[in-house]
Amino acid sequence: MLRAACRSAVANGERSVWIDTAGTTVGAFWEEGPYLVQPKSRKDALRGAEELLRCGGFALVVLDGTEPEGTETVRLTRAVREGGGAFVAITPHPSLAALRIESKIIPHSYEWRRGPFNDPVEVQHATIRVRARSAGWNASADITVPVTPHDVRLSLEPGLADRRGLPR
Amino acid sequence: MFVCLWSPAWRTAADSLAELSPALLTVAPRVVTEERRGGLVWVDARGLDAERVARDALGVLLRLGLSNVRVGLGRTAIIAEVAAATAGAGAASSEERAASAPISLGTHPVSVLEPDPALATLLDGIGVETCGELAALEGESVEVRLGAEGVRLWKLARGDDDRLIFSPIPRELPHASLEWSDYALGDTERLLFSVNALFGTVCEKLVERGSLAREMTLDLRLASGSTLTNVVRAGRPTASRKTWLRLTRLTLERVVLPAGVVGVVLRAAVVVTDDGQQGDLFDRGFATAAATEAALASLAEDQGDVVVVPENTAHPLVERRTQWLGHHGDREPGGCPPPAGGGNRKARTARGKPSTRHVIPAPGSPSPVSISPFPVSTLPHSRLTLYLLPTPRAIETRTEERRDHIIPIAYRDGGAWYGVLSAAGPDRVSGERWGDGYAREYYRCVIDDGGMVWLYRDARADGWYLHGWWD
Repeated sequence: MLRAACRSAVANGERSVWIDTAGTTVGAFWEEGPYLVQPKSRKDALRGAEELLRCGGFALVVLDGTEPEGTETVRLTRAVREGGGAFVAITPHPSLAALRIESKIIPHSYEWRRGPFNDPVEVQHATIRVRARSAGWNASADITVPVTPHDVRLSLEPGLADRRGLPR
Repeated sequence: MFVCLWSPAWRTAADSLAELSPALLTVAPRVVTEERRGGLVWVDARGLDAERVARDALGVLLRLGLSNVRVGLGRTAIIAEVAAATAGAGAASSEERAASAPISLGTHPVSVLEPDPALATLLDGIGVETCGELAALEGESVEVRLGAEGVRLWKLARGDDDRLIFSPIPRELPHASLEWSDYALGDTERLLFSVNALFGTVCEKLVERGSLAREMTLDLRLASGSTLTNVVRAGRPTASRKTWLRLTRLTLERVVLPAGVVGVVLRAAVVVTDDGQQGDLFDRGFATAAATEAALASLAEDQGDVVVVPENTAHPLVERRTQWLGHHGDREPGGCPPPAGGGNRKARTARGKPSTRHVIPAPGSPSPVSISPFPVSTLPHSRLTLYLLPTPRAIETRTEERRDHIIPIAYRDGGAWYGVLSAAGPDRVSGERWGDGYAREYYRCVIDDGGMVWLYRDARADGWYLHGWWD
């Protein structure tokens, strides 16, 4: 949903940036639009986030893979106020956050497409329970979203080398 | 105004004329010599009192023992040139000529314009004898009958001369310097304090003239009398004092000073024009484009190529499929809205499946649009997407048989066991017989905390790994 929010900001003519500290973003699934930053360390991620927030050119900055603590959070909060954008930190410690959002996929909400032996083959969609809290406000909702499938390119024979897609 | 000096006695090469230049430079800032007509000396009187400059120039030449020098004044070069060349023979009249108003070309014969012999014959044939008669003709007819050379001569006859007698003066590049004699600095931090003030001056001058510096040189004058020159380059041209100070700090941190510093000279070495960008009223991000670019440049200078874009291949292993390339700002990643559904959807469309997918609410669950208080419910591209661990993590797995294969039913990761509610797979992939070979059996598993993870069994080492998750 955060990635969709980033793309939505871009679609509205604004900029967004995703700071991927842990390097978990899959290039094959990254859709053009937001900026993607892959800092080399936690410190670089926090410094980069502060710089990008303070410049005021980004409507949304998402910090993924780094949890700001104590004074770091205060410093980032000040940068947000200075730049006027929105900042999302993915962390279990949402102190100083104006809006806290928790999400969890409901375990039995997955809708599978079944194979000829009634085995699960492909996930069609799943339902996420989202709860948002702010000062004097609390709400939750179930949101059903599709799942991006990853199709593994299968080998015909386990003993054969699969060189499809490799440079010749 | 142009001041042209000519003498029929100057049948010399440019060398001897060039000797006059130093003396004439005492009356005007720019002097140019030319070999045409046996030698012409041009004095730039633009912005000055032309008559006074002409008198002073004649005085200088007379003191040098040059007589019979004639001078011409004109708003354009050709008028001054013809005036000098056709002035009276007496050198004494030169000063009088200088004091008079610029003459007109109208009564002069066409020959004063030094036409091409063929063209001169043609003009003679059609009865054009004076500059005034030539100037009175219509431009179109001159072009048709006399050609390009005729048009050039016609323009000169009208006093229209676009020759650049004096080349443009190159603007001095911004620079600033500071010297002290009471002490010598050996501390980089204190040196930067002084350099900071110089950057203020230089960057301010750059901004005033609408320029950006790509390279600056910092000359450190040492107590030993030598000069240590440091070149500071920026990734992108900029006039930002903050950026230059940061780059200079990085440069000075690597410099070993052989002696104390007693002076600093800072100069912009390579300067480019700040072309700016055409504004777009409908681009919401235009107002902040400069700030964004500065922030990204700062990030690149601090941390290297951390702003990346993926370049994907069709490698069977998803972690070997992507090469991250530095984003160099030639185009914003968000310059064009992403296609609906992104690249993955495009791939599915290519296989003939529907190009759009609608979210079908699970039985009994309310419509997300109708109940959700969050704007994300209206986003068309919200979907669970695969994330990968940088390195697959080894896990312990319990399995059970399903027909002719096994599936995981639980796995332990980080000391906790996770039950698998549903597992799809195996999706087998293998390859690279001659390189770093692999043979994997992938499973997409929904676990009891609601997450969907991507596990695989390494068929060669018979080990299980957690490779990623959907989020």
